Amino acid sequence: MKQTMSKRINGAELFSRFGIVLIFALVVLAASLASDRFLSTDNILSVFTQCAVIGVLSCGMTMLIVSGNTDLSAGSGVALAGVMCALVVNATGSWLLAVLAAVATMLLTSLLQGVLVSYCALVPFIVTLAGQLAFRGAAQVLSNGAPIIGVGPIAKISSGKLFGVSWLIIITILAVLFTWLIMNYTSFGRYIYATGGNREAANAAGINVKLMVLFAYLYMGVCTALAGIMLAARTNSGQPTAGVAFEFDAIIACVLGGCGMAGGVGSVAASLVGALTIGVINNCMNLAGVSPYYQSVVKGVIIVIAVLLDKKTHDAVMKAS
Amino acid sequence: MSLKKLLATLLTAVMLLSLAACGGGKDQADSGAASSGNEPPAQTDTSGGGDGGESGGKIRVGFSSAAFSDEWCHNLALAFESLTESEYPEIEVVTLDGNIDAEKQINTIESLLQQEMDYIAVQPLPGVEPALQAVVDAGIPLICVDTVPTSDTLVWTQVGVDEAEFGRLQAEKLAEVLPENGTVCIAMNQLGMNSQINRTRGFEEKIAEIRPDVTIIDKQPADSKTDKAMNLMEDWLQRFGADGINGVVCQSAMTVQGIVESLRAHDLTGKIYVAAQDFTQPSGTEWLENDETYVDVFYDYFALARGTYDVIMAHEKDGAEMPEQVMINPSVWTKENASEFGK
Repeated sequence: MKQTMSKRINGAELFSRFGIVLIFALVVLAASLASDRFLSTDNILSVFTQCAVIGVLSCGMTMLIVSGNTDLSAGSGVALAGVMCALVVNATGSWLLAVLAAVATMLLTSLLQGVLVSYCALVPFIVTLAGQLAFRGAAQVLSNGAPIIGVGPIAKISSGKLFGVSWLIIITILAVLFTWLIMNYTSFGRYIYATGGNREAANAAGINVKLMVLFAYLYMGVCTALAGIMLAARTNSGQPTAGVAFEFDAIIACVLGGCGMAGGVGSVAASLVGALTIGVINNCMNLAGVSPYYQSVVKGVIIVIAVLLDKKTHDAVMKAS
Repeated sequence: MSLKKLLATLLTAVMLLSLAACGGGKDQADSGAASSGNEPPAQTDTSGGGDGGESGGKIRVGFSSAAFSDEWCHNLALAFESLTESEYPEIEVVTLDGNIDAEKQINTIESLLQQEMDYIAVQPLPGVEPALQAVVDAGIPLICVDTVPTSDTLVWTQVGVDEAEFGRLQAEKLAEVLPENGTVCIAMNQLGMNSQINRTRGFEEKIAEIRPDVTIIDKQPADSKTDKAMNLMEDWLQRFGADGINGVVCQSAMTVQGIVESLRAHDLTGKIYVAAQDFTQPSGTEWLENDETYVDVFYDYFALARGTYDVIMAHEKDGAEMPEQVMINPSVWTKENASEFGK
């Protein structure tokens, strides 16, 4: 009995820790069976490229969710950053100014959101929902409602490669690595986990939780700016309608990766795997020729199953412990 | 606490200032995303006045666009505005953005009704029929530009042509160059939209008639989004291989951009024939001249706007009845005539 219980705990704990990797492996297996082209190097790189923007967004979103907050304005922020980037590069010819402009814009917007959430104690859902509307509107105003075609040297981020790997993929991996290092090897990262895990206890322990939340929003702003620049590079344009629902894709990636929406739990590496899982599902359905009318249904069902499985396992581990 | 109060006061002041700013000034950019369900959306008013209330004896026309976010649709709205300044000074127009959302477009149509327009022109999205019925019930002449609603009871004047014609023209040109037993992929607009259904039908029927050997190997929605079109093209290349696709048919300007960017990234431009739509400028001309696209079917937005205004002027001045349809045919552009565009 004791041995059986121990085995059960270990199995559930294993799945709790590595659940998304196992789910990802299952999805990859299914995809490779559905299409013999899935496992080709070109296709794998293509899938990764397609997930790059969401992957970078997931870095900031993981930190935010771990801190116990959320950001529904990320998709609109991607559009705003992309438009700003395209505007500046076309006006000045300088890619550096364009990047700085995009980053500065998103730092300003995320500072505002962070202050409202952290210091004014407003509900993150409402603040960032307002941001979603405002940033999209700002993107429309700046671009006069029309796409800005051509981003000059910025496009090289998408077209350029290092040893056959697109810069988009390399930037994503670096962003994930950087975030992982911060979250796991700095006191700031530990404070973020503590803030999300138990805000009162963290406060009592002397952690400036308000500042931690503000920094989490600022980091999200930087990630959003980077994602916007990457999308502008990929589409060679700044589009005010870009990034619709990207925040939900990023949140789903984080949840699939094991982030607890209540805060205190999450891993950026697992979030990336979550993003890749969704990317593989999309890719597999296109490769297999699934009717477009069914694709959204299939995707929704798979995501629900994955999250349900993860929750059940997590509950089993908690119950056993 | 004091910081909280200060910030709350600041926020309130910013909101009040924004409301005041939105209430005045001419030429405000419209954004469907910025409008709520209950408020009249921000509008672009070319009357020259700030309040939009006094018509000064002008004929008041309201135009509800399907999507400012689509370059062609946005150009159509701009054509409506610019023609009132250059060729139709008797007309005052208000243009609103439906933002590819039926509910938002219903809000725009209701807003135009509230503003007591003399004529209402709409580029209708599926699902706005109840709002169009309200226009007809109010006794306001309804003009449907480019697309038409689905209804047995509505009465409208159509300015444009059957959407299927776009697909037919693309099929005719591609048929000239596709190899024997050629394969084609279709990157469609949003599922359920009039343009998606009819342009696809037009292409399929025509290609089956003139080139029955050609096979449509896949059709998926790109939703008029460049990044989605790119992902779609990349997946098609993985699925069928570069040699497995001879032609790609696009149904909107943003889709064309995604397909072209994807083919560029894989060094396949000129090797797969792209049938484009909407002739976005200046890229459209460049793409044709560089063999990145093979044909572009263009619907002249100025011709559509002129057609609308001519019908209105004839009705106003000569008492002519509003006709059922004003035919405005699309034009076909290739490498041979691409440089003539706009001249």
